[in-house]
Amino acid sequence: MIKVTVWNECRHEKEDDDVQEVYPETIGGCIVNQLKPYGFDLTLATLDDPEQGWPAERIASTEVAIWWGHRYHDELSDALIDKLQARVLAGMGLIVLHSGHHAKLFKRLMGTSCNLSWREAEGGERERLWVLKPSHPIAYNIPPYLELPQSEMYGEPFDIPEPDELIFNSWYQGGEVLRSGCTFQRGRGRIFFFSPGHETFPIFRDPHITQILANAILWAHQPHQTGWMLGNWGRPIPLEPDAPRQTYYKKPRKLMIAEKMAAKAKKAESEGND
Amino acid sequence: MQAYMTPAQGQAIARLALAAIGVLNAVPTYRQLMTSADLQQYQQTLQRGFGAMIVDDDAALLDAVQGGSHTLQPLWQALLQQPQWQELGCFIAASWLRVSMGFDGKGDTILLEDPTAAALLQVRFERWDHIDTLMAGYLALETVFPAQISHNPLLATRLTYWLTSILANGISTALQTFLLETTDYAAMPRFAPTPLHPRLENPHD
Repeated sequence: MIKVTVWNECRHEKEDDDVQEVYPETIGGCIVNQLKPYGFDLTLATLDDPEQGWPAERIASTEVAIWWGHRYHDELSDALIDKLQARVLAGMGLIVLHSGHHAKLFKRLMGTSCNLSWREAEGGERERLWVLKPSHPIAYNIPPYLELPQSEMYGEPFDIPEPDELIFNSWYQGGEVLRSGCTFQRGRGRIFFFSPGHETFPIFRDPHITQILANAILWAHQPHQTGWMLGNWGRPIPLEPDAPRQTYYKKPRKLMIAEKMAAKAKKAESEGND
Repeated sequence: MQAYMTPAQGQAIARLALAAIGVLNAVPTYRQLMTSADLQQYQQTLQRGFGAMIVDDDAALLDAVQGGSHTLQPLWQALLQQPQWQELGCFIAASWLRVSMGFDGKGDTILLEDPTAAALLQVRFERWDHIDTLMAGYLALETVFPAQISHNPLLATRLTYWLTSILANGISTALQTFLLETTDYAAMPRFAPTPLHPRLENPHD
């Protein structure tokens, strides 16, 4: 069973009546409930949990993380983001939802501002989500387009690096468009950004959205864990026998300095004796 | 390889192999050392090679590098009899040779109490500037490298290869390189296991 951690900031649900009405079980709770029939090993974590929802064992054991955050991205400690980034680079899948485009972790992994244009229209607006790659695993069992009657507009320009794959594109009632389903590979980790999911609309109750999340979990989970990941790989001896090779190796800086100091002292001593 | 050494010798060599990595990384406990996936894979390789259960207490592990020149002798005998383990054997010997240089990956001092320690250190002091002269100096130490090893061009070449890999990369990356280059890719399952297609996990069944 794939170990999935659904990490939910879970502050809107405590602070905003309109969010409580739509998601009395919380956004993360809804995602977990919706995904249960798919047979994942699901864990719900929140910002207010001990260690901000990411104790070391959970970081190590999570195979795919789903991330929903919005208002309090900055509260996450940089040390935690370092660990999560390293875990993604080592192979943990990451699915970033909606306003997670501004999450520290996502911005770190993208290396750009991840800014986009946005509008919270009164009562929301219609979003039409087009499937651009119907044969992609993330689009399995999804119709050619989805209509979300109430959504928050997220539009271009979306300041992300060129995605590896563009799976969905969204059109909004107001006329804007967004690359709304993008994949990235960072190190050994697979990342899927998916834009629908505003906190005041019941988007995560839509069975097609659940299907996309389940597909994305399977895609982002990398069973192929034996692939290599090296440090900076020095190859002092080339494969070709007669090719030039490296014959000198630097010592650690600390030792180099200590040896230089010792040599200097020895020289001074011998000069003193003369 | 087990047939050419006693279980105790196999255990000692495996212990030396892990201890050298611990010492070079300044990792004080066995438990801490074994949190790395690479070390776990290395331990499995050592178990295949020496049939030894290496689970150890910290004191025994850290003591293993002391007197390493003695432990290397049954390793050489086994390597000469079982050439398929030459990469593993040369990597272990290179790791210990790197320990004998007297400093860890950060440049902190390593004190070695091996009877050959002074001679090894002298080689390092005098011959550091060129790998060929450095290796020639090491291979000339008969108490560490018997003639059958130092005069065996293949073993000397592979020993040099792994020592240079450790010097260029540090022990951790060198270990990754070792594991990569010595994996028996033909023996791996034909397909990576996947929760979607569990029947493909072991198509050979």
